Amino acid sequence: MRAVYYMDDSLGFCPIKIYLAQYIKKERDKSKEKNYKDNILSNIDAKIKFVVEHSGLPIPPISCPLRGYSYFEIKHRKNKNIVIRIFYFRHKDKIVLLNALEKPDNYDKTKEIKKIDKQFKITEEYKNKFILNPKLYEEYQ
Amino acid sequence: MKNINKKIKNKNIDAIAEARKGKRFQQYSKDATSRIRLAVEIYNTRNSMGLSQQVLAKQIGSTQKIISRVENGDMNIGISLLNRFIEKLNFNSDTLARIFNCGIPYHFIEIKTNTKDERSETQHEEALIFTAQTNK
Repeated sequence: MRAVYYMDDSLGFCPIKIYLAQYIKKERDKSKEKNYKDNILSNIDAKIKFVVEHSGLPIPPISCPLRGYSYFEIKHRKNKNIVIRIFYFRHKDKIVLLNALEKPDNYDKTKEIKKIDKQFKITEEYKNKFILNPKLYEEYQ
Repeated sequence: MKNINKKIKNKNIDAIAEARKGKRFQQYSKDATSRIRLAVEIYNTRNSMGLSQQVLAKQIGSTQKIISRVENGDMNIGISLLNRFIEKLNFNSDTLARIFNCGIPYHFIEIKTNTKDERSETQHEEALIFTAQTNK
């Protein structure tokens, strides 16, 4: 099994790469900020590797199925109030990283709920697109 | 216009691959792997003992939130809390060896019987062979 990024042909990029791009270190960042970004990325990377080691099967508490949808999620706490959720599914010998979003711990506004639901649906669409065209991916290095 | 170009450029950058070039990434990565292994062991043992996060938290003098964060592999825990987990969940040397990816006496005996030509995979096992040879 190997991990790959889903590449959306109509958008022309990988949604996960776009999400993770915010953690790319910049020259002007202070060392504390650089370490913080490295730390988040290394944690996400370690969790993805863990999932790959276990053939993409949901191993709670690191990864678990998403209720109502046919893909799994990896969770990582970004800070006290925000959790990063990375969605993936298994396709033949690949673990396809579909999408990622940040979920606040306490969201009760209907606006927030709608926003997250919309992302879930978009992720489902990504999954269906990949199944139709399994060449839509980029290697996870 | 410059900003737009930058954004388009960033679209194809693999943030994780970039971060791997950094000095600290490897260390963070090792720490994260240990945290994940610990998280899975705690989660599995707690479930097999039929304990809820809240009950375990009470037993080790912590909070449910902390247990949840440890089980998600999101928290660096100190020696004190680790000791309390080990005590309450009855972790043995096998479990700890799995979590910290280190050798236990059982491996020591196994390696000692191997021929000299056979090389072990990890540095730690190599160190054990070295100790075994010097002890002869």
